[in-house]
Amino acid sequence: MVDSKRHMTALIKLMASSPWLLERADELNYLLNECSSESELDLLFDLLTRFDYLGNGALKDGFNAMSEQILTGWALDPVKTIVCPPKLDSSADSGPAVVQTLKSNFARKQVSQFELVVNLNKLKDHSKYRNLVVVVDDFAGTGRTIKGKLGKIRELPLYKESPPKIYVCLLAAAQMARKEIEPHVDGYFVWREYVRGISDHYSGSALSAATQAMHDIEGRFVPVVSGVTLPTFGYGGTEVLMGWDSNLPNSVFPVFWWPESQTTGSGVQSVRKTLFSRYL
Amino acid sequence: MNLTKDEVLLVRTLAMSKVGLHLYTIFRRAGLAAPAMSKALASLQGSGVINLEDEVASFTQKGHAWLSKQPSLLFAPQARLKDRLDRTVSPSRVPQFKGPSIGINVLYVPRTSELPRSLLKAIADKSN
Repeated sequence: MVDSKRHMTALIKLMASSPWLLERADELNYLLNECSSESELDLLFDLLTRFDYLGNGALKDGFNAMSEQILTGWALDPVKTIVCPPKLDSSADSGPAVVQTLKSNFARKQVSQFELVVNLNKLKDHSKYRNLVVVVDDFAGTGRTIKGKLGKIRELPLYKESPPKIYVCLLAAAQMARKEIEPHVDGYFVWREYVRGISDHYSGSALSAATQAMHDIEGRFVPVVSGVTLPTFGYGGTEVLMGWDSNLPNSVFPVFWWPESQTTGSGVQSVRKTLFSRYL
Repeated sequence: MNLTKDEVLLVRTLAMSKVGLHLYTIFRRAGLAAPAMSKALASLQGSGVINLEDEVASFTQKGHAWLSKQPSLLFAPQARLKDRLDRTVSPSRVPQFKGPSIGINVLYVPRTSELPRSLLKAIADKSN
């Protein structure tokens, strides 16, 4: 599909400015060849130009910023603080990985009195003297999941007598998460915040053309894979343009990670070569 | 500055123009694949040799100064062009157009049609 002078030039410019795409040249080629119209190609080129890829260096900066916010920004007393992911079950999640990463950052600053936990249900009674709770995670999309967990934290038997002060510290989030979380916490920090990639970027006829093009692209995907329904435009319509090498949040446009497509008409399903991956 | 083969090819292609070249023109002339060209372009941009404005690449002042000290880059021996030739010419060089190879110490017999007329005349005069 990338056969015109305009699109080939755009491709060269895009890859020259986004070195991470060079390592994924095959996947990029697959993605662009899936397009069936000029408008779909134009949209993908524009989205990829604005795409924020967080490589190892960027992630390190992000985790440093998070620990800096906890230690200096909010200046929380480590003796009174619990750092935890928004988790009350034992499922594998990115939250505990964030706690683990912050652990080494705290150690580098010679701070060791924080109580770092991976599951709030495991908190012991003596933790009630720690009335500052910092909820950390790598990503928030709509913010509804974290908001739900905040209520659960306040309901913990541990905090029956005196409710804790809760802070939320995130590596990245969709902008819509702020409205959902910020009013309910004592502090809210996000290192990278993302506006909606289509709805907040285009207006008028360009918006309807881009929306239609994305609907056309997503219309060719298998709507349910492993029991998971395609989150059109990202879960909750978050339209996030961000990616990293670990498990990708479902708030990112599915075009960059949804695993299966179907050939129009024939109903044949095929595995896509995607730029990023997500466990379904 | 050590350049990769692709970067050398890009520099040579770009050096053909005084004012710069459109990216697509470089892509067509250099015969590089898009990822290879993007990588070379990014690297040369990063070194401050090439500037990209809109879709036109050109040498920066630093690039011109650097290039003037690198005549070997532009007038490289044929062997260094092999890579490019392999990439661009070989596929269309069909066997029937290859001439017979000449052995060591065997005289080369030129085509008379390709010799200058003055030489042919001199030979004819001498034999007469």
